[in-house]
Amino acid sequence: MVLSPRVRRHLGAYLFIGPALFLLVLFNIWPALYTAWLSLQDYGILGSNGFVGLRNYVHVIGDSLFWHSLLVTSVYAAGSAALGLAGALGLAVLVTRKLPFMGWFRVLYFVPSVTSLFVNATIFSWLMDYNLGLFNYWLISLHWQRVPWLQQASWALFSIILVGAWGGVSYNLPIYAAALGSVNRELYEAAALDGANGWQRFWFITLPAIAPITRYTVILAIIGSFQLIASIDALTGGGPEDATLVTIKYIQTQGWEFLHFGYASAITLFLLAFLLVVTWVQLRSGRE
Amino acid sequence: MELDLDQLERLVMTGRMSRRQLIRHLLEAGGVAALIGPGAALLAACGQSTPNNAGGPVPSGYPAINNSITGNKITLQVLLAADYYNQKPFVDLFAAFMAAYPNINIQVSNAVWEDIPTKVKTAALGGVPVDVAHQHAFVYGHIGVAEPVDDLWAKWGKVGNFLPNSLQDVTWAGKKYGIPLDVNCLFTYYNKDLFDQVKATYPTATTTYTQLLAELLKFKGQSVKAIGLSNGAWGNSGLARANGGDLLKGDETGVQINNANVVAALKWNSELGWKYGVGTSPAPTKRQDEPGFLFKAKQVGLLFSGPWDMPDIKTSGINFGTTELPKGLDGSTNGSVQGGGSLFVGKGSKNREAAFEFMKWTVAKPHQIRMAKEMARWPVIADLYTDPAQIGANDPALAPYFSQLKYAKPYKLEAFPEGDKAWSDGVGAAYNGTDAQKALDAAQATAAKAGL
Repeated sequence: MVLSPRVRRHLGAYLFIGPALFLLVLFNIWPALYTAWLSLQDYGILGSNGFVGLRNYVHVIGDSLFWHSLLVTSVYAAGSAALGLAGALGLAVLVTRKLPFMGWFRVLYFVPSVTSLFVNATIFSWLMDYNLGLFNYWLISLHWQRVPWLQQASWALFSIILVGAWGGVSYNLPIYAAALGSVNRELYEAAALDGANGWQRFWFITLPAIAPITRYTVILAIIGSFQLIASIDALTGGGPEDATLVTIKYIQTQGWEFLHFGYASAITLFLLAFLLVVTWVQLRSGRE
Repeated sequence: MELDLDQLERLVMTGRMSRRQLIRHLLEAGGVAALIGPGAALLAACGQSTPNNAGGPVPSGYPAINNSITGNKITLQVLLAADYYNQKPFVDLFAAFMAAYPNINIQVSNAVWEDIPTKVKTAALGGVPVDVAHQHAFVYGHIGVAEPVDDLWAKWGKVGNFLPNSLQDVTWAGKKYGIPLDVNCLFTYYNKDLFDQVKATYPTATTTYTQLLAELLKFKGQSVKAIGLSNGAWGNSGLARANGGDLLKGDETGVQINNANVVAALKWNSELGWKYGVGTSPAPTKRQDEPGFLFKAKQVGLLFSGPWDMPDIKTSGINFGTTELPKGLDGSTNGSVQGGGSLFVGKGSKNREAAFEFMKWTVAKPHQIRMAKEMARWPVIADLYTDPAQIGANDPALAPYFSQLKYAKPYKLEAFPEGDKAWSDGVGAAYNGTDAQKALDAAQATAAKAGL
């Protein structure tokens, strides 16, 4: 076979990107297309019961539990991102200072990120246990009431947010530590000469300087929040009374428990569209 | 040479060691004393092995070789619960079965009980069904991922050997989808010392929910709680059954989650916590074993649980008693929920008959006895209950369990996933302080919305 000069010129490039492209198609593009096809079917455990057009999408729009799950996920995303990123930034400021035991702390802070999400959540299920948990043991030691961390609807989402924020701190701390290290020292020196105090230097120099990194971490935190399921599975299963029913858990319930795979696929694509809009808004606001 | 009796037993039971080889080994390892001592039982067992031409040796008490599966090479995919697959009785069973059928290779996988449904469904969706799976066969028969095996049951002809209730775990709409493996049910444990401490009367086989409430209220203001509560769907269905409440209509085609008897039982149980303050806070979904922990830690006076908790309760040194579940609110009803599990053949399995044959081996008497003695998993073969000593069940504490078992029925709502979740959510809401009637009306409405 004779290859044209143009193909020969680009052959090396195609060979290099080929394996990655193959994996991308196999694990991302093909499943996405298949999900789109499934969303147009009445698809059960034994296969398709027929093409239903946009019926699944119409059903999603009228499904109050889906909108509830989206609200729960949004609250979780906002709460865990705010607490996680603020905590990460605060601790990053600390670890970049010359304080005792910082070497050890730098090793320890990343441990939650390299531990399985499910394992982390299982540890918290013990810590937050109403009857036997360490948190309530401490509260009782202080002569306070036990807290139904995971049992009561009013507490459960807050508890899940705390667990998410804990993981978020660990993941984002090194990112912020690196970002803080890259801020031009001369700006601080100039500000100090002008009489700016520590808080003013942080507010007017550090925060604007690391704004691009913050935008990046916020987008990642929000997208990560919408993929939340391990903590939910280990801690609450979406309950009590759907108080922690995030959208991915709802998709899993519709697909793997109720066996409505077509409907679960339609919800998935709805969620994708929602996330695209959120990301676009974030990027756009960042530009402005 | 060391005398490893376990290893020898395995070799003998799987037919990989002849009588002559066994004698030589025993003599080398322990001399004549070994022959007349520990080796004697092994020699007897060795003699019982049945050689046959088509397959390998079959240990005594196991089904004879089925010649229709001895020809081709078969790989049997077996999915068992995580707390079964690596237990010695099962490890030995795999080896014995493969020795009897040298053409069959068993590949065992495992999952925790709650994760088995996803594994089975994923395999079915992917077109690679599991040959033998462990769960409640009727659920999978209903959703269409288990093979009906009535023809193989008819050929086998042993249906009369099983506890009638155990067969319900494999039956849906009159068809059988598997073979029962073991049974259990909910009954009552109580801590005698804690009951004495508050001067409460012990519950008996005729105690009603109403009478029990009066006794449990005597724990009010104590440092320990009267009862360890659980908001699990399965257990609460049993407590409803004790009050004559059935979550499914008679023909099993529809749900009746808010039926009056079910509501009354849930009201009684859930209000022990948030209204009367004598019950523990129910554990979250993944921690349903917590009431058991609390009972073993002497933190609660009474526990509704199954026989699986008994070995640990005994070793924790509690002065405990057992009895049946309360006889409803007024003493006119008797019931419990049946647990345990069954094995079934995945829909579309190419090894249907070999899979069924393997399942038959799991209910052979020697294996069922070992499950009872070594794993506290109780037999499905009726005969084995005629002499409780042979299954290690001559403990008087187990007597209420066995009498309760006669009135236990499986939690069949599990076959309707939307109904199961609606009930589970309703129970959870009731334990969190919602009025039981209101919680179950909402659950019934949710189930109705799903077409149930």
